[in-house]
Order: sequence, then structure tokens, then C-alpha cells
Amino acid sequence: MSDVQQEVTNLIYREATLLDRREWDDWIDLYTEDAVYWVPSWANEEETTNDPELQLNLIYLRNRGGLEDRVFRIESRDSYASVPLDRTVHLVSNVLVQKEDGDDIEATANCIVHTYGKKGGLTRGSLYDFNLRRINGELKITRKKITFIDDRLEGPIDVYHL
Amino acid sequence: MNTSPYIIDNPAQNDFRLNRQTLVDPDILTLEKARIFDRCWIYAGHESEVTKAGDFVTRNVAGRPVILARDSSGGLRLFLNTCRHRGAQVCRERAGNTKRFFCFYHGWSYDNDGKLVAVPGDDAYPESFDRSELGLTEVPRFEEYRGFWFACFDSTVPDLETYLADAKDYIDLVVEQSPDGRMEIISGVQEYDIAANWKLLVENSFDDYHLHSTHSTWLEYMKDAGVDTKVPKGLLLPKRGIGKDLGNGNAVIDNVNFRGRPVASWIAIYGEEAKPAVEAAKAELVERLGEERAERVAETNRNLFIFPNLMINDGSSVTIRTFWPNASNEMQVTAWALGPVGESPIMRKVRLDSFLTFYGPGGLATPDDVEALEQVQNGLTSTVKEVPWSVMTRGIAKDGEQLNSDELHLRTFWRRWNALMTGDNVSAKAEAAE
Repeated sequence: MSDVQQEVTNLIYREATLLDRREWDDWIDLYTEDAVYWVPSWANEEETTNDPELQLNLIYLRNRGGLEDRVFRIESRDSYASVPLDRTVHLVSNVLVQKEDGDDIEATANCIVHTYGKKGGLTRGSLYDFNLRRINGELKITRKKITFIDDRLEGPIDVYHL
Repeated sequence: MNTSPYIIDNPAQNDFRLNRQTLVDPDILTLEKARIFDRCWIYAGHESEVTKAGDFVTRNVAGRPVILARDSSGGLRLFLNTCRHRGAQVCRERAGNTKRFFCFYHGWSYDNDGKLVAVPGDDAYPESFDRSELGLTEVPRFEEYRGFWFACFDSTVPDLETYLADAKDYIDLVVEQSPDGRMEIISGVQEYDIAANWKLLVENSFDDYHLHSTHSTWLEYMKDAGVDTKVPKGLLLPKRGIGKDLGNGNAVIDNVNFRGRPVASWIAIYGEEAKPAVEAAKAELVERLGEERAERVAETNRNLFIFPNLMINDGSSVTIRTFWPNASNEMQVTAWALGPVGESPIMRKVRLDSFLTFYGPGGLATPDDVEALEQVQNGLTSTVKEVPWSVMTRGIAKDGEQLNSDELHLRTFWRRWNALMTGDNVSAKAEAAE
């Protein structure tokens, strides 16, 4: 396994672990200030929305501030959708580096998230598309796109489900 | 005082109670399908979803699979998506453009006007076999108001405009934000399930009483972003948030805006770069509609309920939301964003950001609503024997105007629901008395 492949895999695994273990500050720290976080919706059987600015998505956050709002919500314990907080297990697999261009890397992965919450257990599958950038020697996430294979979601979603 | 098993409706005694079985009992759902969904005008789609001849979308309306299609002469049709031969769906895609709806089972096909145009091996049929009688079946009633198309499976009820009654005025306010009077569904859809009775979402969608307790994190988010979340005082129309009965079970909460509107009320969250576009939109409204009407369109919000399962929430964005019961404790929700045709990219971006901030399964508010509804459903289902009634009397003792946080609009829904379910008109009298 190449160094880059290993490094990218570690970063993506690390994100999953931080989410499952609720280490929100360290999780947010994986993202750059200008990081885009995008969960498209399905336009038809074949295609998701492809223009997040001009189409209706499930989640579209333009920068890390959007992720910070989510963490604020979770930690406030005033968002009843997140109290008690669902337990999650992310299983990330099929991590592949798709493109390397200087400090910029594109990678894909698959993810199954098993959630246990007030309604019991629930498993959702998604495809990950990452854009990563090496900053001061360290890889950071500049963009994460999460494509659910479900077109109709069972219940609400927040960053810890994704 | 009425004698319904479902509600106790006694305005003279300031009493209104709801039997919780209405939200729990599967037999009641079976009755609702026959007495409500098969008899009312049900939202089917928006004209903008099929713009060119041959465009179609498929979906379920009142539990039936339908094709919303633009026919060869440019009109809209609503076909039942079932082959006249053996019943398979003749259109299996969610959306597209086609000249033919083709049934893959035996190869029958239909044109955009629903006409049966090809039957493989039709020489085997007797002479009495008449293709002209075997076109796609159209839904008995299909009518529109300002681009919103509704279907009705009962051919005996009054027309759509009569049914909408005073709700038309509020649809007008929504549509008037568009410079050329046309709105469009923005590409993309949100579909999600809620484990709760569908009527709980009717209530929740225009219940302003729950805002502060359920959505405190969203209000905090808005405050942090510099939005004044106190409702402004002044000479706005209406002067304060009110709840209104619009006739035939339709109702609205009609509010002064405080949280930004892409048409004409800028807030810091939109970003400085959007300010000129928002101001230009307001100027266009004033120019076109005059000061007073522009203020009405721009500076007021409305959560408009069209009986029985359509919400048009025209606030920080315009949401079209419809829902269908899979079971007495489960519904599927479909939500779209609506915007003016020809809206500039920067305004569209502001509109969609506003939508996503609040609404949808990944928003900052809807998930808390979903949690509330599911908690309510759990509570009702497990305790309905011990706690059979819910109280719904906020505002009932007041004379005149009722607030958005009162429950007149919820009672309006329930009275209509009760009248259709029981076939009596006692509720209508109670409505008049209140």
C-alpha cells in the first residue's frame, strides 16, 4: 500500500472513529475552514442533484461554521432530536485514492452506519467522495459529499449519522 | 354540543377535546382513506414539473400511482399508472420525457394523451376489441389554481376553486412574489418517513405554540447569526401573528416576518453579497404591486394548510410539503422548494440555504419536529386507554382574532375532518359559533 493510500485511509477511518466516539472538536479539526459538506438528494433513479447551489439537497454547508453549528446543537442538549444521542458505528471500506494533484487528493469510500436510537436499530449505506488537501504536512478535508443509496430516508439525519 | 365519537366540540362551554383513538386506531385510517382522501381535492403536482410536451413525473396521489404528464397539445393530464390490459405500471421512471408509455409485460403502449397506440398481435382480439376505449384511465377530476394542480377521485364534489375558498388569497400572496406571476419547483426533493400519524404533521406544520420549546437551538442559531428573533411591532399587515379559518378545513397562520425572507427582507445570514439582490427584489415588488401589497407579500409569512394533506410554508423559503399515511402510526413525507421562475442565482442560493437551515431530515428544525411527533405517537399509542382525550382549547374563549399560537386553525382542521368522517354538519355550526 502506498504512503498516500495509507494516509488517506487513516484520515477517513479517523473521522469515523471520532464521530462514533463523539469527539466533536477533534472531528471538526479534520476539516479546513472553507470545507464544503454536502448530502445531495436523488433527482431520479439514476442521478442525485449535481448543483448544490441551485438544487434542493438534504444538507449543504459551505464552510466549517456549518459543522460547528451542528456540534453546538448536539452539545446544547436542547435539540430533542439529539437527546438522547443516537449511538453509531461507522464501517468505512473500499477507500481508494482517485486522483493526486500536488497537495490535493480525491478519494472515495463506502460507508455503512449502524445507528441505535429511540426507534431501535437502523442501518443506512452511503458513498463518500472526499477532497483532501495537505496543509503543513497534514491532510485535511476540504470537501465531503455523502450520497445515501436510500432515496427516502427513514427519520432525520445529522452529522453523526453520516 | 356534538355527538361525534372523535371530538367534543362545545364552544359555548369553551370546550374542545380530541379523542386520541383518531391518531392511533388503524380502522380509523381505513375510514379516512374512503371518506377523506377519496373525496377531497388532493395536491398532485406543480405545472413547472412538466414544462415541455412529453415531460412526465410519476408519484402517488391519494394512494394511487399516477403519471403527471404534459400532453401533445401542451395541457396537463393525470393518468392512473396502470396498463388497461393486466395492470402493470406503464411508466416506471420517476421523471423524464417520452412519446410513449410502454408496458413491458405484453408490450401495450400509450401516447402522451393516454391513447392506446400499440397492441402487439392485436389480430387475435375479437372485432369488439376497441382500442379507443382502452386508453390510460384519467383521474376523474384534475384542476389547477395558479400552477398548483389537484386531483379528486370523487366526481360529485364542487370544483377546486370552491374547495380552496379563502385559501386562494393566500396562494395569491405566495405567487405574487414572482415578477411574472409564475413559480417553479426547484430541482431536488426531500423524502422521509415519520413514525407518526399523518394528522400530527398537519397540526405541527402550522403550530406556532411549539416554536420556542421545540426549536430553541434553531432560535439560538439565528440569534448567533445576528437575527432579531423578537417579533417586530409596527404598522405591518397583519399587526401580529394570527390563526385563521379559510373555509372547508383550510386554514393559515399569518405572521409578521422576523427571520428574513429571500423576497425582500435581508438578514445577515444571507451575506453582504446578497443584499443588493434582496433590495432589488423588494423594489420590484413595490413597483409592481404598490407599497401596501408589496409589504404584505414581502414582510409577512404564512403557513398555509390546504385540507387534508398539503402545507405551503411561505417564510424564510417556500416549502411545499405533502404526506401520505402508510399506517396509522407512519407517514411518508415529500417536500419541495418553490421559487420564482427566473430567479437570480444569488437569490436562489439564499432561498435554498434558508430552506435547508430549517427544513428537512437534515435541517436544524425539522428533526426536532419529527422527534416531537414520534414521541407524541408513542405516548398516545401506549396510553390511549388511560388518557383518551387531548385538550385543544387555546384561544377558544377569545372574541375576534386568534393568535398564531392559539389553536383555532387546528380546530378548523379537526372540525372539517370530523364532519367528513361522521357525515354531520354539527361541526360547521360550531365553527360559525366560535
